Amino acid sequence: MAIVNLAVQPREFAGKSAVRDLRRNGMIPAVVYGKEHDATMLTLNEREFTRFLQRYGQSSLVSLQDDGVATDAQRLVIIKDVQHNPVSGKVIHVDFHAVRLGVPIQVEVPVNLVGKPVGIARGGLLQPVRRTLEIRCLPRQIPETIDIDVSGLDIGEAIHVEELHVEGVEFIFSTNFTIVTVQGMKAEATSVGEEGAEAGQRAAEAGGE
Amino acid sequence: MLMPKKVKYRKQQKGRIHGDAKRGSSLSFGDFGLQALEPGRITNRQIEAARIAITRFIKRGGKVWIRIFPDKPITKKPAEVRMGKGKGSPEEWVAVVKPGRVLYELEGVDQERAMEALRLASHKLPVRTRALVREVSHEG
Repeated sequence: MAIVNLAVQPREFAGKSAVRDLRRNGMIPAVVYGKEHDATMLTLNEREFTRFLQRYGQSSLVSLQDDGVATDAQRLVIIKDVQHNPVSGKVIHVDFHAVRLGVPIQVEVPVNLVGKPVGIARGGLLQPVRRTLEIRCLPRQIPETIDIDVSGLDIGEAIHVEELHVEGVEFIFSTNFTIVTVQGMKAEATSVGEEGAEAGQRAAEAGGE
Repeated sequence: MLMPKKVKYRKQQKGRIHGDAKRGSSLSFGDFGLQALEPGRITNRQIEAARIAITRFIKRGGKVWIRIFPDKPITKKPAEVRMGKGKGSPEEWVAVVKPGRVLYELEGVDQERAMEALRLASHKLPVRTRALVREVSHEG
């Protein structure tokens, strides 16, 4: 995996008032932290970072450049978290995690399903269960996506995490969970989403008058 | 229609809606979604009406998730009753929705049909909404 440069500036002020000022001026507050370094506050240019995300995605290896010069080893990072405004969708904060090239790290990588399953032609529905997978590997070997060929899947068949093999990548799991399955279609399939169901369960568990 | 099976207290205070959704604001299950852009209360009848609009349009294809649950009871006094003499009786159930909340998710249909289904559903709801599309996770 190539290392991509990203310009950052150090940041002195913390707190919501200061970061709101930053956002008003087209900047994004960010932080970089790692095992052997103290957390450092940074700012990014919003337009540059949005373009960066569109081009390279979140699972790339980044070299943070302070005024065009990478200052120390701490500046080799991965993007740990990107927070978005729920309404506007704009990036409001970024977490960077400092890494060392020789030490394996644990990251989440998106799943990319490739091919058209046999079961779809027979009226099935491709149902991705996991859209990201947790892996452990060296920073240079982080794949952009985990490509899974689903073309052989028939109705009722599934691909589990144990079946995946990618060179240099260890998949992290305690139970052999399903990643993708092809379901047979019912006349009307509606589910109450997890949170909705939880709320219903909460109310139900609370007892009644 | 969606409503809690049983509740600890039959009546709740009205409450106010402040701020944006802190969770449930991104697609979790499907490839398409309908996101609220305004705060509001959505009744269980409206949730059901929008769900029917979606499932009728997509017919047998696809799967629908409802991401909100009406767990707040709303009371009303009977018609032509003077004020006072206690709070009215529970009449309906609503889901309190903040801007950014994903209301429905959809999967297993093409984008054109999904957008039309969500447009039809949005007309049944008392809040402004927009359709969301997941970035490509399937090449085939």
